[in-house]
Amino acid sequence: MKGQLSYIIKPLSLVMTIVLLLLLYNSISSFGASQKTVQKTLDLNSDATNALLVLANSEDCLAFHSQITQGLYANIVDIDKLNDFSARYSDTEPECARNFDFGWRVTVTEYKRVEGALTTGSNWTFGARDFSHDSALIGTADFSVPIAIRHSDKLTRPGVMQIHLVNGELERISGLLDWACHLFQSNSITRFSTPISTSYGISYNAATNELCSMSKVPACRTMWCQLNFTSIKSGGSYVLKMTYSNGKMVVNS
Amino acid sequence: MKGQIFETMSFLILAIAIIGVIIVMRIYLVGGAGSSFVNIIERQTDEGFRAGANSVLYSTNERTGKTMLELVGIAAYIGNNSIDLGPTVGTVNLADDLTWRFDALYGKGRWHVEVKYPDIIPDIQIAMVLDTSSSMCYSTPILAQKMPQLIDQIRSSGKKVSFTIYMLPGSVRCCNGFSLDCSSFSETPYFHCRGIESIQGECAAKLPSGLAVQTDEDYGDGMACAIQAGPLEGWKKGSVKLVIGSSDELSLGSECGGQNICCPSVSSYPGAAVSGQNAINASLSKQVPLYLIQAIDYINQSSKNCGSICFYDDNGQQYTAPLDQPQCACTDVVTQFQQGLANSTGGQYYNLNDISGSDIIDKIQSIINGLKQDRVPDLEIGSPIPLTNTRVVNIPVPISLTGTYTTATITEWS
Repeated sequence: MKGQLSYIIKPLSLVMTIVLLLLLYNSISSFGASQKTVQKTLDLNSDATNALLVLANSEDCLAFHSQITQGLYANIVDIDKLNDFSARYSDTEPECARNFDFGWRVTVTEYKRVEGALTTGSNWTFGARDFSHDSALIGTADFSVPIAIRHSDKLTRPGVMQIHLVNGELERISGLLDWACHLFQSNSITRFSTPISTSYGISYNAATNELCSMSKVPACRTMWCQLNFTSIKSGGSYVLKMTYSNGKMVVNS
Repeated sequence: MKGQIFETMSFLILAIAIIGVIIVMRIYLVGGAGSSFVNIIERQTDEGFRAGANSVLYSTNERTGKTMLELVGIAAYIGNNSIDLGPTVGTVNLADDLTWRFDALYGKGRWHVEVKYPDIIPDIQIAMVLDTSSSMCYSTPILAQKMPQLIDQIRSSGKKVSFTIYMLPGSVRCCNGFSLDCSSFSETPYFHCRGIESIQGECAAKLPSGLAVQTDEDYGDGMACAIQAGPLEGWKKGSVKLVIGSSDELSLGSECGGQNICCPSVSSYPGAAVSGQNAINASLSKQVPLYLIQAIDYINQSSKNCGSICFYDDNGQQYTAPLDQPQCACTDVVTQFQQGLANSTGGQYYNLNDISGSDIIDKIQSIINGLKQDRVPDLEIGSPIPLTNTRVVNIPVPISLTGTYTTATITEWS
């Protein structure tokens, strides 16, 4: 009897030990997974904040160089630069705040008071025109910061700069290609390959230099380089192989 | 049996150890890494919030062209959220100006701003214009004897007062040995005496064309001139400013139609009216109130015994005359005139002829002691701060007039 009991207890103990170990493993991996999800959301928020801070405080972007603030972040933007950006970057992000992982579009609204009543003054918008849709869309973030819009020495009006940041397959793929193009043009690399995953086919319009997603609602992004791009006809996982010659980036999948 | 107990116990120990490891990893290791990441992101968001709050303070008031930061600094200096920037620009209501900005950018009910104002004792700047006609031989010597010490005494009590006397044109040597000019006054670092001619050029440039201080009794134009030029050190921003005029007669004299008698009313003296109006206009445009001290002509107030003047003329001859006409006879008319100047400009009128027995020094001391500084301790606007989920930033605000700083605390919540 005692021996028979031992035959039961030992395997039970073993099974329960395995169960406990599996519980430990599951606990760690699920928590790690939830941390990754939180991290992704925070990443998006962080990039949105970053883009706004860079736009508002970098002199390469919109910032007005104030002798008074001397580098202190004060979100003072120059109206001349705002006018220039909204004309030049009406459908793409400016280089000074380009993010190769995400796409974004910014709207700037000015506030003023007329006869005691608060009204909106001028507004400007620039950045990517289209974004990923449907299952190609991974996440979005909307964020805003107050800014000061400097018209002249004596006139600086309050305003708000809002960003709509998108994490999507089109943004990632075009970001990869733009980044690679940048490296090719600076002679940092001679060839490059990377795996991608896409829910829809990807095509390239040479006439407009746009990379387009063949989602139900088509979306296109303007590219930095002229491409010689082999279209991807349907969704799936691919490996993009890139080289650069004669001023064009050759992309094969 | 013992072996089985040991086996069970070893399993239990293993189970407890594994559960302990799970708990430790969740709380300290994996959770810690996550919370560190959150902290980094929050710092970045805080930086964004700080930049946004800064931007509000660097926006400008459209009427003045001054940034909100400058205006907060001025308000902190003067201890008032209503900032008077003169007749051209007008008054800026700082609380209102900040409120609409924060409402627009952060949303109503989602922000709070507090700026503590330092306890600044402002400068008190006084310019006094003195009639230098011979009838002032009674009251002016006391001024010369005691005024410098009075200023030093008031300064030692903590009030930062400075005093400049402008003597009207002319110089009379009184029989008591006193000369009605600046040679009778001792200069100190904060008490000065100058002839009105030292600022005539500036007055002529700033006052209506053709206007100048005309006689030794033209204290109306004299006060207008003193307001334009300011005391010896010039008017300072944020100081308490006032001009005192003292005379026993109407501006330009109480002689009626050139005769040594008193006219029945102020309206009979067109010259005095114009001179007085010049003083009122200058006072209102520069926001400097007029204080008038009517000098004494009666020896005995209750019996109305009129005094007499005694001075040496240009030939060194002693000259004595009663003050019945026009001085004593015109006392009530002068009172009416000087009260009008004070009341029209937010100042005060004092009468050395009153029965209190106080002299001109007492009157000036009561003027200075009566000056009230209505300071508010802070600027506080917005909604009450909730207990949680707030973001706070402290931004230094320079008070340029003192070279010090205060702090604007801006709180925002969603």
